[in-house]
Amino acid sequence: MNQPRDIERLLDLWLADGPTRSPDRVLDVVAGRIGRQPQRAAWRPHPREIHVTTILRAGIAAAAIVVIAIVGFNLVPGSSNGVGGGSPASPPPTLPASALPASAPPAPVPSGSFDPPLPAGPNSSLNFTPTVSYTVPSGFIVWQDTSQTYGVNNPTGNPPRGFFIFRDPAPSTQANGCEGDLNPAVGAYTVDSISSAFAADTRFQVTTPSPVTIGPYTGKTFDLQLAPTWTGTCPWSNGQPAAMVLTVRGGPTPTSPSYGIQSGDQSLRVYLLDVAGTPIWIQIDKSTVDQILPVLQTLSFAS
Amino acid sequence: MGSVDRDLVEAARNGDREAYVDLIRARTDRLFAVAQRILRDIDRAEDALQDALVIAWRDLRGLRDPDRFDAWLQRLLVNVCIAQATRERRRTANLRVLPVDDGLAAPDELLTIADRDLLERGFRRLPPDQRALLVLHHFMGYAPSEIAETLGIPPGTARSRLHNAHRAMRAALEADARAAVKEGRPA
Repeated sequence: MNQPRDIERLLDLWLADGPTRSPDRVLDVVAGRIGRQPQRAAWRPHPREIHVTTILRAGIAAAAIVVIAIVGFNLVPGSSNGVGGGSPASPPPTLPASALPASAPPAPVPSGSFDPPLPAGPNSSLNFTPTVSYTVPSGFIVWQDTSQTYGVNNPTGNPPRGFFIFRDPAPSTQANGCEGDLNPAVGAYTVDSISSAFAADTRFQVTTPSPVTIGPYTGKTFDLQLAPTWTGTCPWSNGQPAAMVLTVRGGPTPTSPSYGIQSGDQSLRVYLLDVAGTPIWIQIDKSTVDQILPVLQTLSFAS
Repeated sequence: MGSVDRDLVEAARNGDREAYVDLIRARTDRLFAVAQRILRDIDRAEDALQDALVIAWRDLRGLRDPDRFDAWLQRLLVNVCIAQATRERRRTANLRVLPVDDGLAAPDELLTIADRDLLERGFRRLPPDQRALLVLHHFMGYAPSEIAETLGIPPGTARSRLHNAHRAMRAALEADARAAVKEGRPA
């Protein structure tokens, strides 16, 4: 039935079938539960709504970086927190015992074991492999957690502030109707070869990949967006220029996760890290680097 | 959102529980339908809906724009459903989904019970986030841009993920059809 018939029409029909009324007891149960549930204080305002002078903003940012670096170091022992293009990898600093916090940091909470939003503090993936741990402030949610992909964001932002991780990314092509076919020009799937492939891909406007260190991991970082000269489209782009970026290798093809962008999408900041020989692709919206980079500094992957 | 609902959101944000119950009263049917279609189970859908509504009450003060209440609540529900389905998927990853025949008539003559059985199995094979995308698009009728707004992702990402979800659904149906041929059951 699935080949000659339109899957979208079938889904329309099938999903229309089913219950449309909520059980009456739902309201009673919720009314009872909220009677015992206090409301949380409002989240902090979005940074973009705070109007401060450039000098003051720089001061606040510097203070925030210092605080976050200290907190991040305490919560993630062994993390060097060294992030920035061109900075060489350095061994984690060793602190004397007297400098360590008196009590052990809270253990990361598996993100699938509670309801969103994530609690502020350390969290970790449930399904993504290798398990990724990180520290976030309040207001973030996990919106994807599979063995190969992991996404976290704060949906109150515009654009949403967060990060998305792909394990074993492979540059993909427009071939076969943007189905995510792998780019045959890429040889070994290493951080260097993948970075070089994107830098040479005329579909994208890519900054020169530069060395980066995030925590104990080294790799390359670059900014990526659709090239203004690219006019190719994909079946999902409604005639707008679009391009397939990557496909996760080693998945249950043809259902392996793949990722594409189209004109109008925000420019991405990519951190391509070597995690025990496995390439890990971390992308964030370039305009949110200031907010999200401190979170990325706390990333660690289980060995 | 009308002014009455906006007033209810404001009152609920200020801790008025009765206003909150009045606010959600008109929304539970639609939200329950979405949850049931993502989770494919009435009891789990009810649990997810209750949890989402309690979380919404707890975090309502964080909603800055009352006019965004519906989109915010729906995103909350979808995320609760995805989290619950992810946990359930891990527990049942190796279990085989048995054919279901609930005796209901198909909503369209073109959709036979065998078709629905096949779609059910194929849909349950999908990752929870892909199920949510398909429900928002095919049941709620959301365009990719509306899905993007609901899930808090860029429009291009929503489009490519919806395309992937359709592709995954086709692949799941094809895999099921191949298995059916091997086992001699109707596909």
